[in-house]
Order: sequence, then C-alpha cells, then structure tokens
Amino acid sequence: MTLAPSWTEFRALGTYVHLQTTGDPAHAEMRAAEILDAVDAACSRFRVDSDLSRANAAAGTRVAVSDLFRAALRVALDVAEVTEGILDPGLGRNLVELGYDVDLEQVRQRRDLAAVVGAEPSRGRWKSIELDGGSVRVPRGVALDLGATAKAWAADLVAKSLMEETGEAVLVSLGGDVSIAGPRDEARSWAIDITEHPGGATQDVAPAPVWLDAGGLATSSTEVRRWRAGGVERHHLIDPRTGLSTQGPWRTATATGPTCVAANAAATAALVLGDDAVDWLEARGVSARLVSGDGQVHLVGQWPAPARSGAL
Amino acid sequence: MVRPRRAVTPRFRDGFQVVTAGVTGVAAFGALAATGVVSGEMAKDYQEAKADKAESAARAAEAAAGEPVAVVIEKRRPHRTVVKTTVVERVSSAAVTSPGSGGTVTSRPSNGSAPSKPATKGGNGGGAGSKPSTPSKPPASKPPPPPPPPAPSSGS
Repeated sequence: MTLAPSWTEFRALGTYVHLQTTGDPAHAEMRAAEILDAVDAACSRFRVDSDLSRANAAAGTRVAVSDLFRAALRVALDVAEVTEGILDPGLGRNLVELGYDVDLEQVRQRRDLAAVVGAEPSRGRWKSIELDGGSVRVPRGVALDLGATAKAWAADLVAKSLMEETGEAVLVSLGGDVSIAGPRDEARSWAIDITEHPGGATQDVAPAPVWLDAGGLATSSTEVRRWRAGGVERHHLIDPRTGLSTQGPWRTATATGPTCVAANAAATAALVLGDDAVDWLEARGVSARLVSGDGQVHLVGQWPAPARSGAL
Repeated sequence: MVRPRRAVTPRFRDGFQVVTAGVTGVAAFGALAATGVVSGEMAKDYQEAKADKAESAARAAEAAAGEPVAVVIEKRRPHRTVVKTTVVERVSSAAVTSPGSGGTVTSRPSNGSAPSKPATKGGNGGGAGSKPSTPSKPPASKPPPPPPPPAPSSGS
C-alpha cells in the first residue's frame, strides 16, 4: 500500500494554496511559499518592482528581466500561439480600462468606476511582444498581464520542484489550478473536489469529486472575480476579440492536461470560445466539464459520469 | 550613463571564464544559478562585465553611425535562485504547455490511494523454565493520520 499524504493550506498569490505530500508538509509549505514569492516578485501586475511592472512601465524600450520572468513570459507566448491568440498576455490595458487595476477587494469598494467606452480588441497584440536573451520589450500602448497562465505555471513549478527535491509525491492546488508530481514507479490517484466558488456557494452546481492520476487539472470561472463598472457587471476573463469580459454560454470550465498550464489553457479557452468550446476541446483530446450560465453541466472527452446521483 | 571602466583582475577573469565555459549569454547565469545561491561577488562581477560589454558595443555603434544610440542597461541585483533552472525548463517547454489529454480522471480512485497500515511490534515469546511466562502486550502504536480532504479546484 502507498503512504497516505499529509496536507497543509496557506495563502499566496492572492489566493488559497492546498498542498498534499507524502513527505514533510512543513518543509513543503516553506519551499512552496518561497517559490510562489519568487513568482510574485517576477510576474505580479500589482507590484511596481516586479519584472512585469517594470517592463510595462518602460513600454517601447528593452528591459532586463529575471530568468524566472522570462520563462513565465515564454510560457504565456507559447500558450498564445497554440490557442491562436485566445489567451493573450497583452491584455493588461484592457483589464485596467475595465477597472481591475488594483487588488480586487479595492476595486469592489470603489463607487466611481465609469462605464467602459471603446474597449480595444487585441488583434494579435501578443505577437509584437519581444523576448530576446535576458530582456523584454513591450510595445508602446501594450501592457502585459500573465493572469491567464502564471498561476497554473506556478503550480507546476511548485509540484515539480518539491518532487525533485524530496522524491515524494506532491499535489498542489493554487487557487484551483492543480498540479501533480510523483515518483515514476508509484501509481497514485488524488481526490479533487470541483466547485465553482472556493468552498462552494449556494448558487454553485453540486460539487463534482473526481480522482486524477497524473498531469494537471484547472478550473476557470467567470463567477468569482467580478465587479461593477458604470452599472455593468464585469469579470476578469477578457475576450481578446472584443477587449471586454467574455459573454459566452459557459460560466465555469474544468479541464485536464499533461500539465497544469495545459489544463488551465484549455479551461480558460473554453470560456472565451463559448459556443465553439466543445468542438475545440474535443479536437485536442481534452477531457473537460463545462457549466452553463443556467447551471447545466456538459461533459467533454473522457470526463467521468458522476459516481453518485446529483453530482456531475 | 557613463561608467568607469573596470580593471580586469585575475580573480575576475578566472571567475568569468568559469561562468562562460561551454555556455553563452544568459544561459551562463542560469547554469550558475542552478547550483543554488549565486555568489554575490561573482554575480556582481558578471553583471558588471555584461553591462560594460553592452555599453562598449553601443559606443562602437554610435561612433560608426554618427548618431547617439539609446541603450537600456539595468543591472540585476544578485539574488538567490529558488527554482532550479532544470525544473523551470521542464515545466515551461512548449511540448507540455499545449492543451491536450492529460492524466486519467475518474469518479473513483484507481489504485494506491488507501492509507498504509501502522506497523506494530511483536511481543516477546516465553522462555524455557518452570515459571509460565507472561506474554507481553505489544506497545500501543499511533493510529495512522486521517486521509487528507479532497484537493479543491474552483474558480478563484
């Protein structure tokens, strides 16, 4: 029989971190926090000293950046390429124009957010971002935002780092982005509870418990990071084709993938693609669970039917 | 920004050669950083060498073109690398970041997820002799820790 994991929880990158490991959970938490602090220092849109903020502030010129940020941006640009721009790391200005320029709690407390007029679509903005050697050049008029990929990538970093350092099996859930790593000769399935809101909410569909044995799993939702601007409800997922919050039929998507980055890219792309999501996911062999605006659940690929009644 | 030219001391030269042997550009810093804490002195020397080199190239270009060339040079302060370069590369390659099929997702555990049984020590056997031996009780063993709750995956 395999060893049952221990677990711990803490907060980082503005969200919850749930960590399970067959090794020492205290050590795992310490290392995970260290890695997540480094990712925050590199990629945070809300820190003026982050590599991302410095690159945005110096738009039009080359800026030397850390290796970690360079890798994060490389991942974001690769995801933009494979999703044909559906996930675009150049939408930072759109988020700011929609009112999401500071921590979300502060945004929600504002009373003076104006309606958005003339949001600009991306039109392949990500292609103009230059990543060369140790420097980045963000074109004038463009601002980076790695919100679509950095959290999932951080989950992969933590899981793989801990496994490599300790040889122990690890599961990391970083705000719902789940990454698994473990010794090759150990078969193990991990229990994951899928909800729309953290901890579930009254209006959520019934939680869906599943077991995952490798790779990553991620849930994206338009239901959590929401605010009002000019009397209009907004949320944080931007459709690059319109420059505005997505308005498709799906409100929550959960997908699996070979890594958490891949899973998150699929889940987020599904919300942006809307009516085209199912065909897009099936064409790529992605297993997914989609929740429509009225609470209907649609299963894609190899996503399992519920084991008990009431949960899909 | 005008920076005084730095004298190439033997220590600096040898350290720089160690860093650049077999690798080029930023990869040199990454390779050095992968070993753990980056030495403050060596990292500082390496960064200054890079900055000097960039500035020299810019000056040469300026002299050739007859026009000022804007160079953005920003020295990176030495820092401790907390993630191994090999791990970063493994989770960042395009081959594994594309949406596709991942692990197997099921509605019940497939294998290897039950908690292990606690080990218990055996008692001592009775010895030869007229007195009947009292079998000793095995020491109380700690119950296994409860299994963790399911990991959450939600919007956030």
